[in-house]
Amino acid sequence: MTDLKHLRKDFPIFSRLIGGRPVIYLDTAATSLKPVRVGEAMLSFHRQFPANINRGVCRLSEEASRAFGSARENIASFINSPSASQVIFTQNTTQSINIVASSLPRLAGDRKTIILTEMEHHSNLLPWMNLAGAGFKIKKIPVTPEYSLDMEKYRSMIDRDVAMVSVTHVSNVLGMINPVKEIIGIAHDKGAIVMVDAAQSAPHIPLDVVDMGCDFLAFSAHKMLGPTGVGVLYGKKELLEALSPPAFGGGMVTAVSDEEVVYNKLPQRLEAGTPAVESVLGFSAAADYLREIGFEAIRDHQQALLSVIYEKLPGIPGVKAYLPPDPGMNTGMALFSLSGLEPHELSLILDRQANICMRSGMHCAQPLVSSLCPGGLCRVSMYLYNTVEEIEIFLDVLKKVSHDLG
Amino acid sequence: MPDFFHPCISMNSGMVKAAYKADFDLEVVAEELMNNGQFEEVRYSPRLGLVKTYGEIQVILFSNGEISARPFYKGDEAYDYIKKLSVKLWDAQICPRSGKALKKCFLPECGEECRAKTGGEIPLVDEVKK
Ligand SMILES: Cc1ncc(COP(=O)(O)O)c(C=O)c1O
Repeated sequence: MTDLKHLRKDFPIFSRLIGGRPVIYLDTAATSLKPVRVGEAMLSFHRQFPANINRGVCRLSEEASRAFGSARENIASFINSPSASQVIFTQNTTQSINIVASSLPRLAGDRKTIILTEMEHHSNLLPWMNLAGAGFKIKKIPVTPEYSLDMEKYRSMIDRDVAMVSVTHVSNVLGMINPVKEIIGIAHDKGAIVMVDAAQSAPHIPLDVVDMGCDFLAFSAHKMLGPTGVGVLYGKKELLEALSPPAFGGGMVTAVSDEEVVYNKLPQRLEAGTPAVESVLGFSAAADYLREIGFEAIRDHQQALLSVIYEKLPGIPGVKAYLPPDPGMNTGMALFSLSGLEPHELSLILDRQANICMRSGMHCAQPLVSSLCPGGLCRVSMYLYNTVEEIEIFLDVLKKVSHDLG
Repeated sequence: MPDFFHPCISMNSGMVKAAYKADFDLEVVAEELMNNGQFEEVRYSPRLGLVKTYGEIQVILFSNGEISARPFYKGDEAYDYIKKLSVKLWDAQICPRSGKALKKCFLPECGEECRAKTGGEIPLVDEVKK
């Protein structure tokens, strides 16, 4: 196992004691912890060049603009984008998907079908459902009993009426990695556009938009050690150029008169208004941090934590675990229920017993979760800062709860 | 009044999370709730430091007074419920002088006082986050 224990000192939350005990943070899929370095990068903006970007000629503005520009280049290289101008900063994954969805009527031509999967987060479901009024219908790739996507079914669904295939790279409920490259190839054969929701893959899998071949890709900084308030919409150049700007205002134009507006080129065309400069700087620092650790090491560490979960969780009396059969296809999540306890109750008890933070309920993916268990489920999601000892504590407390209350 | 806690918008019912301004003897809590007859089952776990009820309304009470109750469809209903429930928990409150439940407090200096406190609603300390 690649031991990443030394990294824990970078995450200040681990020095906070609640009731004399440290926090066991098993809710990274909701939002990750942030290393000190990310906060420092954000502070550098306030301390050194707290000026608006691309708007002034003073030194501070120049420095802020330069830092912002290099952050964009850094994020572009993080996903191997051919150009930094194809990286649009948004608020989050949700906004990125909404921007594309609201332009679908103009991108789609005569095509009227949208393909999603049964495992989408509401953020990759509602923006498309909202297009029903514009005549679009949704089909969903089914999830098999092994929690993978039914690719045969997908092949049979896709035809020349499909305008958009929008799929999650990694399920936020199961941790399951989907074969996005294959999905994209099949969609492109029929001329469909493909959007990949990479909110849950960006923290775990090296993203290469060129190799993947996606037309659009969305992710959020806060799930990959970065701050809240910033996300990315990557797109192929001609497709980004075809999108309607999500907002109109300062920064997105090169000339305005009463008669005429000349829009700026990408990425500014899609980024009206002052962006979250400090969050973008923090985002870039998070990408550096991940790069330095390396995705191989993160994966090894994750697999070591998962092996404890796979070995012990399903055997706890009353526990029903919903785990993808191959841990190698799981990015570090475990979905489960305990008979006799409602998920929020279980989550509350684990928190009060051992400061275990985990998610309970429908996980913003109600169609999938309610099909697995109508009352909702609990989820632990692990990351590079978790330890085997923490997982053992979680399992131990769960065993006690199962014995006494389950 | 505590807010209604509705942690997952996809769930159609919510829970109230609050804390009574009292510490509790959980053994007495379990007895009182069991005698109450409102719950199908009441379990007390000393090592988890809580009492949990089973049935239509599910309550978890921790020894420090923290309580959660569910399911409720409206915040007012949930608030009324935990306020009324506190009347039933009156005797299980710990007397700060003797360290015993009011029901068991026979300290000469406060026994009369404790026994004289014959019920009422236990106030809530912290108001709850949404
Ligand atoms: C798969 C997936 N897509 C989209 C989102 C939405 O992300 P955000 O809330 O950052 O917009 C999430 C967040 O949990 C997610 O897990």
